[in-house]
Amino acid sequence: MSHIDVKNFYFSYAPRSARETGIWTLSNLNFSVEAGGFLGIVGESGSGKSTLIRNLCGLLPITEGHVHIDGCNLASLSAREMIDLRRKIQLIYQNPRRSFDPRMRIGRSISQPIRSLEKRTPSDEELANLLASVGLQAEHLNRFPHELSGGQLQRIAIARALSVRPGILLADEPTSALDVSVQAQALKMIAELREQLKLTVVLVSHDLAVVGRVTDSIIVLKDGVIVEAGNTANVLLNPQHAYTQKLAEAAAVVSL
Amino acid sequence: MACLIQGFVTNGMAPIMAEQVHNKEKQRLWVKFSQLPATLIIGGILVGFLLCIALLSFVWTPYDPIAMNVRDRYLPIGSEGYLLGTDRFGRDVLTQIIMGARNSLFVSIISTLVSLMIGTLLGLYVAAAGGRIQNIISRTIDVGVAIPGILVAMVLATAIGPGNLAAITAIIIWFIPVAARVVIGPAVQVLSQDYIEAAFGYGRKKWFVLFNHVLPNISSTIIVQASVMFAAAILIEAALSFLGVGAQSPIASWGRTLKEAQPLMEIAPSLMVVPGLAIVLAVLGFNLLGDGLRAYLDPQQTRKR
Amino acid sequence: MLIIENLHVSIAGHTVAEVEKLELANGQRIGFVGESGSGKSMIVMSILGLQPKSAKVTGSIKFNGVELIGIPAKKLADIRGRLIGLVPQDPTKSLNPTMRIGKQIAEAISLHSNAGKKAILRRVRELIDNVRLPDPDRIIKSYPHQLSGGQQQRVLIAIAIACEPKLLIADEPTTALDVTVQGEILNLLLTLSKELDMGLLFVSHELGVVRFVCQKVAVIYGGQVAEFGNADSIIKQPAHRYTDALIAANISLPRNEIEVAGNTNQLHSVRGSVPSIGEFPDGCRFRNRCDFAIDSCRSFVPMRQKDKDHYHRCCNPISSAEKPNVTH
Repeated sequence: MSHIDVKNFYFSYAPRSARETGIWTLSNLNFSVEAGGFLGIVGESGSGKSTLIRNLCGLLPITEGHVHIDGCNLASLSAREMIDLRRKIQLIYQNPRRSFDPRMRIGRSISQPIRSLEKRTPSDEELANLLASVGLQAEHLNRFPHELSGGQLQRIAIARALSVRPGILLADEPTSALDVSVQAQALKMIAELREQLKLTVVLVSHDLAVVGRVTDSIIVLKDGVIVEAGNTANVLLNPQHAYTQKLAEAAAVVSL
Repeated sequence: MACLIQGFVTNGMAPIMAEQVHNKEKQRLWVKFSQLPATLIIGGILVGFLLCIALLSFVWTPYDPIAMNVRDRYLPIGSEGYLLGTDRFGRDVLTQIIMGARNSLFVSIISTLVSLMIGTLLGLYVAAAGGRIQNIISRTIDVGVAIPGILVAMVLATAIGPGNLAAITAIIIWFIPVAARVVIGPAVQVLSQDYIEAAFGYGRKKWFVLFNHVLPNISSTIIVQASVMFAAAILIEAALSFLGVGAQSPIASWGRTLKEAQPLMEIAPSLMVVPGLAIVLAVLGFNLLGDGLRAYLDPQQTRKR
Repeated sequence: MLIIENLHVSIAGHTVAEVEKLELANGQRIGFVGESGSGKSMIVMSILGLQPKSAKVTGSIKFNGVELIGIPAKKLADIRGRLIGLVPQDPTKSLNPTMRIGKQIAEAISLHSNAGKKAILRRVRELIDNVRLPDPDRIIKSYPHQLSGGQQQRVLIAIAIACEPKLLIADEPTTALDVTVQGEILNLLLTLSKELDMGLLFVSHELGVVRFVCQKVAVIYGGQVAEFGNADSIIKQPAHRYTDALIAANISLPRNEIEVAGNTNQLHSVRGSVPSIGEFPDGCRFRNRCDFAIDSCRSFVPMRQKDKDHYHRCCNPISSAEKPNVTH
């Protein structure tokens, strides 16, 4: 379990010009996720949610402000410490089909994090157990990604991410690219594994319903700024900000 | 009774069943083979043939390549003992062509492989570099591609003396930017994929990702490019030899054979036609092979294997 | 207005879509709901003759009495745009990036009319207004990339209704859009359908979206119509097990404290995954993923009628006694 603290955080892909013009991709973010918490980040396209989540796991350089993982400042990490960070945080992607090397068999793909971060080769049994933890049979280890469905691949992506026993799991729109009939499975798996493994989870989605069903707290992002934050039930059932209300109405209209 | 029947099945039927399975296998292979693009098959045959005679030349040639037989000069094609005739020194033309094949392949394989290796490394580096470095080196490569290679070869030949070394070096210098440029586009595209970011996300370093993730996924582009480069190299080697800066006597080269036959056009036209045809077929073979490989490899990427 | 009968679409020997009978009256709005690989797009494309060249189409699709299958290309081109409009899926891929918007809309108009330049320009402005886009002068001069996703989609709708077609086919028009923009586009389609007395055939993978816009819905799985009827009543009381599973699998917006957070029991999925073409089982397409399959599901299941205007093809449908939305 690890906790995340974000203070006075600004981000831009071109920080020098951002400092002059004052136009940032992400502005003045302040939030934290307690150890074992489940945060949802809701935003539409252009809100910066995908950028934010990549900042949290160090895939983008910190430009201004603080991001602390377990008190450790992401901006001042040595290469060695960066490796440790990677062991602590893992990310799963929106489109599972694109997050696997099409030329690598599943077994080899899911062994990559262990090989890279723990400098050892996992045994076949270990890999089979990994697949079992997400409800898949060992026979899939020999398959190529194109032989599996989106739902299966996303579960394998979850297994891969959890193979190095991170304390934090980040999920970037994990259900959006899946068929409707299997979206709930991926979401349920994330929620259940979180309980089981005592993970801290941050889930990004444009879908208020997805976030509303599983998270403890929500932040609503619009144009790189947090417009509303709080306990999921409060924000969802009693939205204060006009934008959140707009989101909630739009979601309600097409909800079953 | 049951055991008898079983024995019959396992002993008597077995060879028949095995043959049926074998026939089915052959049928499947034939179906797979006939689905290959025609260009791939024809190109493959031509290139394969070329390779065979080049390899053959190491162990046997119809005649000694430097043996001159002044009595049998200018024999036409189909003469007894000389399948493709003789040249003005009485040397067997077929032997000259076979030796020329060996030289062509030698030059083209070495130059293509070396330039492909260096060019690919350069291309991968540039694709991953991004920003200003990518910009600067990319444009330098574009300039490099634009410089006419023949000039480079002439300058080199003047500097280090004519011969295969000059030809190989010139081709390598010429091809490195070409190979690099071909690699950069697809490499950049692969690098934008999520699985590359994921690899960085679990701690992989840049060159590991380039060699283990990017290279395999652009391999079909490189293979196709290699075939095209082989074809070009053969043509360039022939051109350089024709101009006198390639392989020197007594090393046989199609280009030089062609050049020597030029003044004899009226006396013995076949002396020009044969090496010319050899060059055409070799270049055509590699080009068709490259085209066929492109057709074969690309749709397979999107189709279920 | 539109009558589909015994439609059969196959690719490389595999059946991709088959529809026994489907009718759409004038001005009516019907939705096709199905996941990826359900065949819904194939049915719709066959109506317009836009199916892939490798697809074989047999059967009958009659539009206002005119048979569309096998119709000569010239006649089909005349019907397309003028009588049947299409709003394609992804606006970033459906607009010509090198042509200004005004020109693209004008092109749609001039294809089916002999009007002069001035009249066409007037009509372009009218259409931009119809789709509720402000500042028509700027829009006309803009290139597609200068507009937002929602604006581009409105332009596509404008192009589709340019000749006031009797039927508008919308193929997943809001899938690529943000949820707040989606609502606006859906409202626009609803309004236009009513204003122009235009039928609407709405293709989507979301039941909720279809219910908002359409009166009737056809649930499509494995290329077949699994269930057909009133959108509201099907969702309230589905008959086919697949429809029921789809409704249960829908991740709905929590409406009260109990439904919020931590309650993963309400997250249902359908066992297995959507098979690819040619891998669907015989008989009922859904039986391998269904917990209620019985023997008769193995053989071909014809459509049966549950109520007036409510048809389905389930051997073991949900009876009114059973609670709906109950899956594993």
